Amino acid sequence: MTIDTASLTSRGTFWQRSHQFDTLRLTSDGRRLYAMDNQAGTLVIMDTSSGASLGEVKLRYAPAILRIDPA
Amino acid sequence: MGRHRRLGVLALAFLVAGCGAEAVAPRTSSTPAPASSANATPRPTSAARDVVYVRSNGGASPVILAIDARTGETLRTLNDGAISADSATVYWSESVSGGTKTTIHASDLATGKETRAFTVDGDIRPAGNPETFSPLAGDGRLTRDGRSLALMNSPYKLDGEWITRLVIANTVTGTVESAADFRGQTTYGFITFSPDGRSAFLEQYGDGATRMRVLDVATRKLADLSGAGLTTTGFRTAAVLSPDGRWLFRIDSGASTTNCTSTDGPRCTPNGTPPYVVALDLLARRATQIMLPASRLTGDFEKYMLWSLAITPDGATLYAAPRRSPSHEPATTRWRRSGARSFRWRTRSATSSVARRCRPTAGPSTPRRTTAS
Repeated sequence: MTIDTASLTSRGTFWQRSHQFDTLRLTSDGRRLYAMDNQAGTLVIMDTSSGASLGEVKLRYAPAILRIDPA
Repeated sequence: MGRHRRLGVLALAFLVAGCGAEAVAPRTSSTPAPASSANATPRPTSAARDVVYVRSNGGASPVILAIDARTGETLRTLNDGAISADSATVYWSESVSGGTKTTIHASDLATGKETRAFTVDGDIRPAGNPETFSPLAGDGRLTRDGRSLALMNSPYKLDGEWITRLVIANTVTGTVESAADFRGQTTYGFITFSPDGRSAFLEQYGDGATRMRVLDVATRKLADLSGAGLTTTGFRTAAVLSPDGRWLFRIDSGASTTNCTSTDGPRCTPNGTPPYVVALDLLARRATQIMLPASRLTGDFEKYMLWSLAITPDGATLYAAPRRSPSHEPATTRWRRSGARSFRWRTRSATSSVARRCRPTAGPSTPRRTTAS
């Protein structure tokens, strides 16, 4: 769910129905959201403008996303 | 249920949009996923071309992985340690000289190259638990300027007393700035530094409770904090820091247990405590309780372990999101802080959720305990 922090209204909702996320991090430009699902061992990458999934990376337990360097 | 939880986590992620912040939500089960064939075959798995750095506990010891998001390939593996506030450097420890000394290595995250190293006495490692701390950047075990690094031993017992050693090392000179040994029936954990580096905040564990203390770095004296919410017998969520590093926030689950039994009758006064946000002023060494709105309370205290906190980049608003609201809809609780440090919750409706925020009110300059409206 994207929330406008000034108005506290919803800008939109994206569903990832097969995941439960533990850790989230945005790229510095806010265009991509990285979300870690430790139960599934999957790092999910989403386009924040459309909510579309850009892909997944299989990972073992990762409690923190420390940094993202854009390509 | 999972749908609502996911919504809450995603909501917090977007609340902090634009600052590259990380939001962490605890979960009921944090069992590591089974070993996978991760990163074994470099092939395109996503349309993103970023390099993402993650802390991974999936192996024999925690490491930092630099991953090509496009292929999933691990580009570099670094030793885990304390992360600088700019997320550029990791300081990791290596026990040397038969465990009598420790070498601290500084490695550049982007290249994996070691930039410097120094050795100090004792078998110590970066202090604290990064999984219980969620600053906007770094992990709080270094001062914001990166000059001071907190190191701690594994507490051990000698002559019936626990001994915990805290060492604050100067990463520029490679020398020990301050060191303190704590002896007694309690042990200690490191929380973080004050933004000016003059105070090191600790948790003292013992007597069935956890108590916040502060070490004055210059004098090496352990001191008490002032204010409310200094001791807890409940669970506290991961801490978040305000962007200026002055304020630290955690949700305390409170305690559901009371001294009353079914035979005590109505005269017994329950001594259970409701959940609250503890706000710690790291410069003033003073804590404040911000009670959660009554409409957000539940008798199931374990649910408070699943709340999440996030703060806006300007530091003016703190959001608290429960795992599930009483109406079974995702909700956020918003708290605003003023220069006068006086707090008041305010209810506000938002699309598909009920939000509360606390706005500044005219009041004393000293934080005070407030209750939900």
